[in-house]
Amino acid sequence: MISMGNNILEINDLYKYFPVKSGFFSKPKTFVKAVDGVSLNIEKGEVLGVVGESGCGKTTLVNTILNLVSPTKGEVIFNGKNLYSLSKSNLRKTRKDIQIVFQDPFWSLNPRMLVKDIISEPLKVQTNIPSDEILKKVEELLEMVGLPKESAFLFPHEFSNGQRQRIAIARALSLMPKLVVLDEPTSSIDVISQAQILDLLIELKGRFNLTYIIISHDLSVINYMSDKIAVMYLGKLVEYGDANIVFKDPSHPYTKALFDAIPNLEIKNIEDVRLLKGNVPSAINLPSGCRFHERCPYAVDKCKHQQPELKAMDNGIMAACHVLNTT
Amino acid sequence: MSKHYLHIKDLKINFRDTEGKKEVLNIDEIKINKGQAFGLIGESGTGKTVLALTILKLIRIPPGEIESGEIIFDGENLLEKTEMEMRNDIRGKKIAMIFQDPMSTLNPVFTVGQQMINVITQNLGLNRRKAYDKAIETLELVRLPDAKRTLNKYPHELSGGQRQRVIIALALCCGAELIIADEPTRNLDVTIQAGILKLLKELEQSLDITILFIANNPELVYWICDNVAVLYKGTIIEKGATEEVIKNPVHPYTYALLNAIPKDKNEKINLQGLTTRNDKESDEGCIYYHRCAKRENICKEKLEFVQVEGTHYVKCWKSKVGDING
Repeated sequence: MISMGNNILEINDLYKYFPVKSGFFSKPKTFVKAVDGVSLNIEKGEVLGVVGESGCGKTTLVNTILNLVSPTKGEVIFNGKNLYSLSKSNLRKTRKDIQIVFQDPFWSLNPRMLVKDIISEPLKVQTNIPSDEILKKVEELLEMVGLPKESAFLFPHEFSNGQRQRIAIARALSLMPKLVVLDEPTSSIDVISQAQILDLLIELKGRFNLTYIIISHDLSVINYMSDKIAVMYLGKLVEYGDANIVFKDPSHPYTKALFDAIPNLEIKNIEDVRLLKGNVPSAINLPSGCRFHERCPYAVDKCKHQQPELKAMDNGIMAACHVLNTT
Repeated sequence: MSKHYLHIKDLKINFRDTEGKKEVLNIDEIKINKGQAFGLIGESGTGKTVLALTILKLIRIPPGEIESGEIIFDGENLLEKTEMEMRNDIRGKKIAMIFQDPMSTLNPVFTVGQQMINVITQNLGLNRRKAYDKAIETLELVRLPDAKRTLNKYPHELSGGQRQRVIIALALCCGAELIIADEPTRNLDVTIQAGILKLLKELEQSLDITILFIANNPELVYWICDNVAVLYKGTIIEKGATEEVIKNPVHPYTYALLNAIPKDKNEKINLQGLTTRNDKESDEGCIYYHRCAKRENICKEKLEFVQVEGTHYVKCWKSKVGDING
């Protein structure tokens, strides 16, 4: 394992179950296992990519990490401090160092606030910056993300989606955090704005020595950004390791299937694209054994009964698959 | 002259606002043959959706204004039709549209069945019993498992992919032969996206329908379309067989669009020709002039389509000079 000193964030055996209530007074009998025993760690200056289909628990994972929803079990250690055992005021101070950029900037920016108020709100809450300096700081931040200074006095609806995402990034960076969580930062914008946003994120990372967790269902984005990749399926990690190796040679059948679905110019005819059968099963009635076995083309009998553990393979990648781990 | 199923000629559309007239679309020609899938690509704001809405005569006039042009569909000019004719004969029955966002296209307070049966009884004049059978038949066509139960579900009970399948079923249920798919896979996962595209391709072949497919990602178009046109600021700048245009793009903008898709971490995205969004128009010359990294003086002069190879045409001065992207 990597030495503890370099890790900015460590997630140890994190669980988040959401109870499903059947009646008003009855005790919940079933649970949605949104995050089910996930362990990860991120070094300073690294980019961790989390990928999976919708409903696999990516967003719940980061919400739990940030303590936006409280976990069922497990611990998250950020910079040597366990986020779940901090007092409320200490947690608030620590949050300064962790910021998030949400999926759709149309919904994450308050339509009634001017851009300068949106960006300066974290500054007002977290720092004692004098009010006459705030505007200067906002303008600096706007220029940093490639928007003109005059944007400060406009409303979010006056921007395109790509520009709105830049505002969201400026807000996230206003406190100079150490860790930035990017929850599908480019899923609602077109390919050209996407390229610009990704370029901006990489530039900012180098400039301010940031650490990113980036979530996406788009593997080409993850490939471009990440140093390390974690593939999630129904709340569990199925593959985890160095991005370069995973991309060159994906091991888990699910990762392979995700790769097959990326649009590419190598396959001319959509009919030749291999697709996974079926849908993601319900997170309430999870399949027995390996959660992927019903859709897996390589499934053997063992997969139906026994849950595979995340095991390191020869190339250093961790994968949870019976078929892989025996051969 | 060969007869085309959908033939758009010299279409000019303007929008007026307080600041004056803005030219939104200026299309020389689009020809789509029956049973073909035609792709239209371009970034947001280039007028892709305006074109789709114009074909169905759904743009609001004013502020919109059709300055000139013809949209010949199956031998008839759609722009000359009255609102009643469009509603009774064209929309739904002959041309249907799949809108962008599956989350907001369906009405959240009615079940899928109510919405489908409503559309079928209105458009085809069937009674509810027959409309119900028809609805089930179409839902099975788009491979939704358990069609009967899906009919009784509300949109929020379905996943994004299922919702998009319901919308495709709604487009097909009245027998439309031209389907306009406006970014049908936006906001969907890659795996679901591949499934929806596969379905569209299968339907195109089994039902012999024509598809006008709108997207911002050229690679999606490559998967399902036979022909493609690249739209920039309302003007087509490159067109031809998909294989040709996407594999050997000539126009710097098409090239830039293809390059914008991240491929490899070690290969930085080339943002040349993408970074500035200058709205200044050069009067006569290349519309891409202000953003083009390879512009020269000649680009300010008026230009026409130049044949590259076969059906592949491009509007770029430098294509005459030689291989500009090499």
